[in-house]
Amino acid sequence: MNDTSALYLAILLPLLGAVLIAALRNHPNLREAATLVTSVVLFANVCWLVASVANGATPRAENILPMPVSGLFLSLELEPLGAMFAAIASGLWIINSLYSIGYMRANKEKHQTRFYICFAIAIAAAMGIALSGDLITLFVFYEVLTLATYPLVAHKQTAEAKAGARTYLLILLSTSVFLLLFAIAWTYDIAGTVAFAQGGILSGRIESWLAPVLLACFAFGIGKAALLPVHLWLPAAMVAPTPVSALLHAVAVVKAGVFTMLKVGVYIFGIDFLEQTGASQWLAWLAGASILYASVRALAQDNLKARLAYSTVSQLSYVTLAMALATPLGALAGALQIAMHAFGKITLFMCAGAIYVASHRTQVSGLNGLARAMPVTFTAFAVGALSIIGAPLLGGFWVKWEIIFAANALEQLVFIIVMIASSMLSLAYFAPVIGRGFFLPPAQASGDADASAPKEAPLLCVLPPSISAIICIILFFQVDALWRFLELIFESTP
Amino acid sequence: MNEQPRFLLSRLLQRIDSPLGVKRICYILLVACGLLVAIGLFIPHHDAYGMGAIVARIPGFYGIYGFVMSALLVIIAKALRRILMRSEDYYAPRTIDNEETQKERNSST
Amino acid sequence: MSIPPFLFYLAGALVLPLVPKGAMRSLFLSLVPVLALTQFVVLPFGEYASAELFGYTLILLRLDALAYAFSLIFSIAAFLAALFAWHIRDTTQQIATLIYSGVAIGAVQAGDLITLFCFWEATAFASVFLVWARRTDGAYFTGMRYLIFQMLSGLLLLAGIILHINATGSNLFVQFPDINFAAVLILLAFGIKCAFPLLHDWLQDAYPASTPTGTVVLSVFTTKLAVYALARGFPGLEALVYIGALMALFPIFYAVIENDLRRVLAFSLNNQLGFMVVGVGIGTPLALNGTVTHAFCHVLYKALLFMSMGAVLLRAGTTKGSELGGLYKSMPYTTVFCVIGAASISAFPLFSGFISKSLILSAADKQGYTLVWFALLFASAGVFHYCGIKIPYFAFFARDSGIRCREAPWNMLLAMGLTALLCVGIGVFPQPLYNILPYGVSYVPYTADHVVFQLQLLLFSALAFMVLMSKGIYPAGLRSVNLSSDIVYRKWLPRVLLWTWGSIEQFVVSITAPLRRESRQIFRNIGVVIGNEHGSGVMLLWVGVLLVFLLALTYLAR
Repeated sequence: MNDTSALYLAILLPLLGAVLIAALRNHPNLREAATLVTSVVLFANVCWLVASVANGATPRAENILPMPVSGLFLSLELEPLGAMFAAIASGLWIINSLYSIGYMRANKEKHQTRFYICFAIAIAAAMGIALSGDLITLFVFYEVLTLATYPLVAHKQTAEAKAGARTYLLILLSTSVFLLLFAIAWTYDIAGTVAFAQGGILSGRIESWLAPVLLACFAFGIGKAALLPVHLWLPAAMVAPTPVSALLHAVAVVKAGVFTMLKVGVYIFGIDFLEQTGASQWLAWLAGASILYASVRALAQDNLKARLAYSTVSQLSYVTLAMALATPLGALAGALQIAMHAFGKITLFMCAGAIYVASHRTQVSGLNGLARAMPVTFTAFAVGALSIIGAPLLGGFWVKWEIIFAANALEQLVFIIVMIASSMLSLAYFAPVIGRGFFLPPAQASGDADASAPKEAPLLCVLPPSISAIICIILFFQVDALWRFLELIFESTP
Repeated sequence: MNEQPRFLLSRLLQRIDSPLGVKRICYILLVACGLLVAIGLFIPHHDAYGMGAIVARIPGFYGIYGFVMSALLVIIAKALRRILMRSEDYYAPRTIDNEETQKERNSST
Repeated sequence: MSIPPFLFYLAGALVLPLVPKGAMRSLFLSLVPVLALTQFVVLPFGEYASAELFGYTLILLRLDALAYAFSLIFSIAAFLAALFAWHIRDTTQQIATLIYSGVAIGAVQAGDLITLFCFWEATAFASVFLVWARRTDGAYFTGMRYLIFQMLSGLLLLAGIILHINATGSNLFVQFPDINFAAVLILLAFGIKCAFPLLHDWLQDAYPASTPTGTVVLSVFTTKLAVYALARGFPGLEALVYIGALMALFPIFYAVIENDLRRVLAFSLNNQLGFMVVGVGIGTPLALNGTVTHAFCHVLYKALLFMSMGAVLLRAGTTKGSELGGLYKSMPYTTVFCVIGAASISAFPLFSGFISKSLILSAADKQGYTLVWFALLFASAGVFHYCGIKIPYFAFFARDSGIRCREAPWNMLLAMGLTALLCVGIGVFPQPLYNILPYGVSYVPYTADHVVFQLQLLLFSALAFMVLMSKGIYPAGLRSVNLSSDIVYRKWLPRVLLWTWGSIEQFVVSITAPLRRESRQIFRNIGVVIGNEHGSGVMLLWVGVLLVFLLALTYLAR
C-alpha cells in the first residue's frame, strides 16, 4: 500500500461500508458489525496516513476526475491540518458508532439501516473534505456532506423534524451555492488556480480593499462554520437523534466548516497576507461577537440540547477568531480547538442522549437529582463541560491559553476579554446541569411513571462518553505531540 | 426553667448564667479593669515604637480606646441597620437566608 | 524522589468510592492527610518533582519556609476537618473535601505560575461542591454565584500569567518586581480569593450556605491560599496596607448586626484576613512573619469556631442568633470549645491569636503606619466584641430559646478538642511556631506591657458590651438580611439586563415581524414549487435532479 492508495481508501472505505450496511439490512447485528469494522479499518488507514504526514510526506493524488470547467480536476492532498481532521472524524466515528448502536436500540428508532448508511456516507464526505487538495474538491464533498446528513436530521420524520431539517438544508445549501461557490470562482478568476498552497495563493493578486470582501464571501459562504447570521441552522438541526447531533457538532459537520475556514485562511489567503492587509480584522470582531452572543443565548435555553447547540456556535467562533487573528500561533490555536472541542462536545452530546434514553428528560430544569441515579454519565458530562469551559487538566484549556497568547502578542486586549467572558458564560450555562444533577432533590410526584426511578443508561450509551471524557484529560497532558504535529503546517510545503 | 441540665459542665455554666453570676462577673470585670489601669501605670514600655510608645504614656489609653471604639462600633452599626436591613426573604428564592424559616412555616401548616 | 503531597489526596479521592462506607472510610479520609504530611514534613527545602508540559517547566513541589508553614497548617486542618466530618456518609462531599484539600496544598507548593493556576482553578471547582452539598435550592444558587466569582479570579489569573510570561519569558512564581498590567490582573485574581473590599461578597454569601462540616473545610483553604499567594507575589506592596486596613474595618460593622452566626464568622474571617494583608503590605520580615503566624493560628481558631457553629447547626438546626440561646444546657462541651475559639480570635493572652496578631500590630507601628495601627487596634477591639462575645453569648447563653438538643457527636467533640488544644498550646508555647517562620526574627510576645495593654483593650471593650447590653442598646438578633455591595449583581444587574433584553427583543420583533411574514410567504411559495407538499424527501430529490441537470449541462457546453 502506498500513500496515494491510502488516500483513495480513506474515502472509499466508508462508502464500501455503506454498501455493506445496505446489504446486511436484514441482520441488525451483522449490520452494526459492518459499521464498527469499517470505522476501525478506516481509522487504521487514517492513522497510517497521519504517520506518513508526520514523517514529512505529503500524500497527494492529482487529476482524478475532470470537472466541468476545463483545467479543473478533483485532486486530493493531505497536509497536517487535514490529517488531524481526518483522524478526529474517523476516530470519533468509532466511538459514535458504539454509541449509536446503544442509543438507537434503546430508543427503538425506526429506519436504522438508512441511518447507518447516511452516517457512513457523511463520514466519506468528511474524509473527502479533509483530504481535498483544492477548493473545488472541497466544495463538492462539502455539498455531499450537507445532502448526506439531511436524512439524518429529518430522521424522526415528524413535522418538527422535517421543518428543522429544511432550515438546515436551506441555509447550508444557499450559503454554499451563492457565496462559497461564488468566492471560489472569484478566487479562480484572480489567481488562476484554486489549489491550496503554502503561504496562500492570493498574495499580491488581489487589491487590498477587495480582500475583506472576498474573505466575507468565504466566511459567510461556509455556513457550516456557523458564524453569527448564518448560525441558525445549528439550533434548528437539534431535532435530530442524539448520535446525529454528535455527528453534526463534534465529528463531521461543524468541524468541516471551521476546517474549511482554516484552510481558506492558511492556504488560500495565507496568514502573512492576512496579517499585512488586516483583511481579517473585521472577522475577528464578528467572531468575538458571535462567541458572546451565542453564549448568552445558550444561557437562556432550558432544553439541554439547545443549550449545547448554542454552545457549539460559540465554540466554533473560537476557531474563526483564532484564524482571523492572522498569526501562525492563532491559526494553530484554531486547529487545536477543532480537536479539543470535538472531544468535549461529543462527550456532552452523548451524555445528553444517555440522559434522554434513561429518563426521557430534555430540560435542564428537570435534571434535579438525576446524577445520583446516573453518576457515570454526569461525571463524564462534567469532564466534557470543564474541557469546553477551558479548565485546567482538560484539553480545552490549551486552546484558551494559546488564543489569549496570540491576542496578547497582537496587543488586542479586547479578544482576551472575549475569551474570559466566554469562559465565564460557558461556566454559567454548564454548571447548572452538574449542580442540579448532583445536589438538588429530585422533583417529587411528577406524574409519569418512568421518571420515578431512572437508572443509568445502557452500557453502550455510557461507555462511549466515558471514553471521550478520558481522552479530554489525556489531551491536556499529550498536547505537546499534537501541537508539534500541527506545527508542520507552517514548516512543510504542501 | 428549673430543670437540672444533664451535664456536670452545664451545671457549672449555669452558675455563670444565673442573675447572681452575671452580677458577679460585672463586679469582677470592673475590678479587673481598674487593676489593669493601675498596673499599666507602673510597667516598663520596651516593646513600643512610634505611636505605641506615645500612647503608652497616656494612663489607661488602651482601655479608653477599647471602650469608646467598641461602643461607637455598636452604635454606628445599629444606625446602619436602618439603611441596610431588609426582610429575610429579600433575595428569595435564590438564597439560603429564609430557608429555615420557610421550613418551619411549612411544617406548622 | 519524593511524591508531591497533593497526589496522595487525588489518589485518595480516586480510591475513595471503593472503600466501604462507615468507619473504614472515615479512617481512610483522616489517614490521607497524615500520609501526605509525612511526605514533606522532614524534607529539606528545595525544588522537587518538576515536569515538562507544552514547552514549560512545571515545578510541582517547591518547599521553602513560606510554603512549608502553609502546607503544614493546611495538612493539620485537613486532618482535623476529616475527623470533624467522621460521621458524614455523603460520598460527593468526601471526594470534594479530599480534592479541595489536596489541590490547596498543591497550590502552595507549586513553584511556577502554570501549576499554581491549575490548582487555583481546581480549588474553585472542588469547593463549590461543598456549598452545593447542602442540597437546597438556596444553596444551589449560592453555589452558582460562588463558582462564578472563583472562576473570575481564575481567569484574571490566567490572563495575568499569560501577559507576564509573554513579557518576561519566565513562568516561575516569585515576587512580581514591577506593578504592570499583568501584575495588576494577578493582584485582582488574588484579591477576589482574598475577599478584598467590594470583591468580598462571595465569602459571606457562600460560607454560611454550606453544610455544617463543609464550612469548616471552606474556611481553611481558599482565603489562606490567597494570603499565601499575596505574600509570595506582592510582599511590600504599599497599597495592600490600606486595602488590608479597610478589610479589617468594614466587616465588623456588618458582623454586629448580622443574625446568622456562621455569617458573623464569615465577616470575622474577612476582618482577620485584613490583618494578614496589612502584614503582606508592610513587607518587613517582622510583618511577613506576622502574616504567616496569623494565618497559621487563624486557620485553627476559625476552624474551631466554625466547627462549634457546625455542631450547633447539626443539632439545633439553625445558627440564627434570633432563634438560639441557652444551648450550654444541652451542648456544654461545644460551648467551652467555642469560648476557647472566641478567646483565641480575640487574642487573649495565652491563646493563639495573641502571639500572632501582635506581630502585625508591632510591624505596623514600627514602620510608621500610625493610622493603620489605630484602625487595627479598633478592629481588634471590634473582633472581640462581635465575635469573641457575640458568638458564644447569643448561641449558648442569652435568653433561653428552649431548644433542648443532644450534645455534638463524639467525633466533632474530639476534633474541636484537638483544635482547642492546639489553640491554647500555641498560645502558651509559641516558640515552635516561631521557629518555622520564613524570617529569623526574635520576637517576644509575652512582655508585661503587651499583656496588660491587650487585656485593657479587651476587658474595657467587654465592659462596653455589658453596659450596652444592660441599657438595651445592643442590637438584638433579628430575622433579616443586610444589604451589601452584592446587591449590584443580585438585584440590580439582573433587573437591568432583563429590561434591556426585553426592550431589544421587542424592538427587533417590531421591525422583523413584517419581514418574517413576507419571507415565510416566499418560502412557502418556493416550497410548493419544489414539492414541499409531498414532504422533504421529494424536495431533496428535486435538488439532486437539479444538480445533476446542471452538471450535465455544463459538460455538454464544454
